Amino acid sequence: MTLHLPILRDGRRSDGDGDGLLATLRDTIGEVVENFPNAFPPVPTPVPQPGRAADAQKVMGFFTDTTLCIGCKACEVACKQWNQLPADGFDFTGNSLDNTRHLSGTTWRHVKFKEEIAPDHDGDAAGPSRWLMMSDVCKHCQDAPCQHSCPTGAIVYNDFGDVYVQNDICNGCGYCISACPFGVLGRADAPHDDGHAHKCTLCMDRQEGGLTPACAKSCPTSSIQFGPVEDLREAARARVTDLQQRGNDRAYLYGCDSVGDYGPLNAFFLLEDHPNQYNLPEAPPQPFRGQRKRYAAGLAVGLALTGLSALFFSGGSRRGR
Amino acid sequence: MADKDTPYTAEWAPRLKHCPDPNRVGQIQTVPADPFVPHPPAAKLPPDPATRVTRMPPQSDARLHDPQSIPAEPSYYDIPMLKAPVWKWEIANYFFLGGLSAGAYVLGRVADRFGDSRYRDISRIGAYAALLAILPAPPLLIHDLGDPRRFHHMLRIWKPSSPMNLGTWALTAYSGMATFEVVRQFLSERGRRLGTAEHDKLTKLMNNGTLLLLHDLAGVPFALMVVSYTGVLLSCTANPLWSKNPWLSPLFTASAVSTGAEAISLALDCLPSHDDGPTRESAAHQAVRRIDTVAHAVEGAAMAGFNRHAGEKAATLHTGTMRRYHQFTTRGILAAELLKLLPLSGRLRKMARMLSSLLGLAAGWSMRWSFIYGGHEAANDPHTSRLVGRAETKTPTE
Repeated sequence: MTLHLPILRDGRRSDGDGDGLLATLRDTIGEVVENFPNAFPPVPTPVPQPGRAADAQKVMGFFTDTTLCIGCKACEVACKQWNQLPADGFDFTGNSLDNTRHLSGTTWRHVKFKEEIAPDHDGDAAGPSRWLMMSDVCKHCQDAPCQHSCPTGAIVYNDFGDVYVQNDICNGCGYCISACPFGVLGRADAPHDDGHAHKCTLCMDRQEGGLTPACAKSCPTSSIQFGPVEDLREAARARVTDLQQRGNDRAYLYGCDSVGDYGPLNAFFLLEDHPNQYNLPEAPPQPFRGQRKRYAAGLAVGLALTGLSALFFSGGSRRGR
Repeated sequence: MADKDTPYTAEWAPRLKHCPDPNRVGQIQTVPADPFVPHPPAAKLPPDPATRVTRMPPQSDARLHDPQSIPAEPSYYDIPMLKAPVWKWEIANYFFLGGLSAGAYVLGRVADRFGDSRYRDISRIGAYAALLAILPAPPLLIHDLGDPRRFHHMLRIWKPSSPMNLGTWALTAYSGMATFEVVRQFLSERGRRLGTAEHDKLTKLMNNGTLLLLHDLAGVPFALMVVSYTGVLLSCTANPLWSKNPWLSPLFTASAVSTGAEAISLALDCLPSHDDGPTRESAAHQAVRRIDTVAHAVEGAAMAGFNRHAGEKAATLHTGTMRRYHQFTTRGILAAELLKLLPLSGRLRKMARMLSSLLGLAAGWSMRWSFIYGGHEAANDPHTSRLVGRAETKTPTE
């Protein structure tokens, strides 16, 4: 049975735009009436499973080869343009040509640019000058803590096996922001803050139309490669072998195989230095591991204290009688 | 040079009014610049410029470690790796009130079920304190989310893998239980006063033994869930202070029981009808305070375990801005326990008892506050934010 209330048809359904308390209340009641029975039971949608061989070609991802990155930021700009993300403002870090600092709710691709300049060319200074550039993005974990954490079911795995935030359901609780060990998710800064978490969608809308994600499309050096993750992993391994044969011993893959508590990431990287140099964790933790044990510990303490208080109360009465 | 064609000689010319050119720039409007604040503060820099080491300016105000005091570690310009939590005072206060409410509720129910008539005050106060403390919880959470509809979004699905979703369901169910209990207490009390308890059908139904047993079997676990989920929620994040720490949930649960007991004890002291002897407390008061002591002991043990497990990641509690709050928590609990041991009598004893309860409550509040805001500082500190993703053994790639 579906109830059609007039307020549901006047187009003001997106949350947060009611006029005044009465309208908000009316919308709330309408939404509850319309949605509450429909949310039960949750209908599982067929999503490609990374472990299933038949689905292997359906899971799409990124391979970002930092040895090819020239720091042009075309990916960052293309991402902003396609996804209509606001600018981050003129905020100079004074560090390098990177003034954006980190991924955020309004920056879904971020080019890290690290300059290491030897302080003294004559003396016995350590190492030569070099540049490290890397286009960072949401890792689209296969066991994503943000997906586990989301209390509204807004964060889901989409048809391409990637992590997607449905912003009409997101309630802005901010749990995913704390849950992500890579610091990917964020809310936008003050003027653009709509109270929702945002992150890379892996251009789900473009993929549905058969297009390559904007960042990969715009990358002039093929540093960002897009495709079925299985194929990308093979290409990445070949690339590392090739680099190592040509004398670059430092090249290695981050997230191609398991890293920390995680299995392979859907967006993985070829790096040349310690992960912390790129602001990536050495061994990212999956905080939802061992969740049940922690519940058990808390409940056990609670039950023990409850039992003890029962003893105190009943023991006192027996002595009193 | 006025000729006949110019308007100045026209007969309407004198009636023209002077009108300034709208395009003329008269005064340039300037936006006042923000006052320049040197960062880091100039006073903190070494006095001699020759000894000054050029470092990147800190990216955030919260900094647990002087970058020059720790050995150089690989980093990306010392920019924090993690995002700071968005949870603020609403959540800290909600954790405190929710814990207090659940603790009072559990103690009240246990006293009702296992104690005799001497403990009736506890069950009554427990019920009222539980409802009073849980009433601000939904408004606080809604204020944190910004919209009532956003709270409802969490009740659209059942997702036990998310502690927040499970906690919202537990809170909703528990609020119902707490309301039921208050209504039952109110009706029974009124019935007893008016002598109509035997005739009132609703009172009789609510005091039905089977219904009460079912109520307890569901209500007490729900109440314990409301407190223990908060710790699990914090431990299921990548925040350095909270991440994967198994002691958080026991710590919050023990603190909930102790704050609940303190609230009941405080209310017993304020209740005019409850008579404590000049030297000895009533049995109810004694029992509640003994439970408080046990809960404080468990809390202390859990806090020690927490600190041991977190190690350097809990720096915010020991050397950071949350140091004062953490010290207040531990010293407040200690002082509350010491006050109980003082050999006082009469009014002084009552005052010491009330002070002890107040100290315990304040310590419980400051514990929640230090953990929420400590999470902000831990995530904003570049060094600490790297610790959470540190491998136990060096990776072969390094």
